[in-house]
Amino acid sequence: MSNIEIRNLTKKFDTNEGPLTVIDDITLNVDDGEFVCLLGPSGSGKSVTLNCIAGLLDATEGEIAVDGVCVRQKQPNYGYIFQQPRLMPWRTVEENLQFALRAETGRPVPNEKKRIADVLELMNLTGYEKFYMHQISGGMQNRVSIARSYIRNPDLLLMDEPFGALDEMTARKLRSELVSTWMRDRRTVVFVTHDIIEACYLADRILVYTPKPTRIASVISIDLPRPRIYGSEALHEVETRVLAACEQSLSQFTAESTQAN
Amino acid sequence: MKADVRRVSLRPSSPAAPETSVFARFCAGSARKLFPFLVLVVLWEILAYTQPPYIFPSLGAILRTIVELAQDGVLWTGTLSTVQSVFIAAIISLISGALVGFALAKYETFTAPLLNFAQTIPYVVWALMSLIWFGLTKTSVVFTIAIAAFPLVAFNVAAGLKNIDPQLLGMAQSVRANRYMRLRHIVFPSLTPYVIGASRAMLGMCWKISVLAELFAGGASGGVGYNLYSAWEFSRPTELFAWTIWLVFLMMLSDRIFITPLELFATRWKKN
Repeated sequence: MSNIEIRNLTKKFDTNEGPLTVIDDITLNVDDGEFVCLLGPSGSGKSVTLNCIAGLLDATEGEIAVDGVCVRQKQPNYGYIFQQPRLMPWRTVEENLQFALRAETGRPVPNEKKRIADVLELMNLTGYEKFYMHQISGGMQNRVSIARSYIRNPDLLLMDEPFGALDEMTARKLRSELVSTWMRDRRTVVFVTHDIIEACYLADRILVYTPKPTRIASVISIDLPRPRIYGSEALHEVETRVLAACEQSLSQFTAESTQAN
Repeated sequence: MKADVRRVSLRPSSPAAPETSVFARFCAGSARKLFPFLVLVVLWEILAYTQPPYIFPSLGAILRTIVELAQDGVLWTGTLSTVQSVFIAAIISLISGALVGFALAKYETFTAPLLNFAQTIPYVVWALMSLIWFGLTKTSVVFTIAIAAFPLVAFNVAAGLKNIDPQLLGMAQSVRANRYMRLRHIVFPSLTPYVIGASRAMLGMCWKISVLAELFAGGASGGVGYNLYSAWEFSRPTELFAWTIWLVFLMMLSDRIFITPLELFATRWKKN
């Protein structure tokens, strides 16, 4: 399990019209075993934050440390889950998982068969080892991609709208599976989403992002027991709070940009 | 993808599906495949019937000539010689084409002009140059074929490399895959359809250029192209047609023997 410290993170990209500030001076902590959702409009730099935590992107300014170690020096042991399953269609479920296991060395790792079997069982995929991607449903492909991140036994899960491309019923099923899987060993999760209901259903804490250049508009802690129930009174109350925070940040943003003009 | 599965699974229960035996379906399939050739034969025979044999011989005469050439032995020695040249040149252009393709994708500004330069030179010029460099030898035939055919592979491999799914590469990066794993599991499988398409076009090109190259290299090759040329030189049109038909046959056969199985092997994962 990992904790994350982000100090004054700023990320700028060079574009043809000069530098574009995507993230503007963000400071936040994620505790060991905490489930944090980054919630914000699209293009607000949520994925950029994830990539900076993973060490895939370098921060323009500021520091990110995972377990006290700067990610620039050593990439953390994370599992990354993308919006799309990103599975190799020419490889079976088993081979896709094997790829993640052997990625760094190209050689088999000890207990490979057992690790694959375990993670497939965790994701309710037992029996689908030999299936190719076109033979299983979109929801199952998503589970395989989550299995792929679990199989490396990461201390930290970085999830970038993993259920964003799914229909709501499938997404709900996978969300509840994610929660029950997560509750077994409480790995640290940073979960990016633009779906308020999803964030409220999952998170211990929601960080609401402003539109670009991104700051943290508000932090909302959710102290409800899991599994939470969609449409319940308690969850609805939280959703209303989050929605209000989003609205406020948006109207502030509009007001500021009108002033600036 | 989902729609496909549904369609396939519905088919057996659909009342409209006609009940046909495997044999009947096989016959229908073969008939459909043979039909274009049948049209070709009919048109050929009509043309042959209306023209004198030295202008346009009938298929019967051509087949008889092929048999005669076979009995004479020259069909086999000529074929063997050309097959050798084509085979060696195809291997060379596949390997060098793949390497140049990688270079083209990676250092485009450097490689593209050079490749375009080499590709723009007419094949006839290459054939003549290779005679100067390698003399009347089989090497010059192989060189001409290979240099004409390898750009096809290079351009296709480069196109394939550019079309590798960046999402998969991002995934590979997120699990810190090393170069070997990336190449073996992502790059090469992504390239397969391009390489197969390129191989098919390249092999056809090799056969066609072989005729040109052997024509220039004369008796040194003794291949199909040389025989074609001497048939023309000695005014034996039926023989000319016979060698041409034979060449087309060889071309189609080589596609069946090499490319089709390769394609089936490479796409085996797509089948249920």
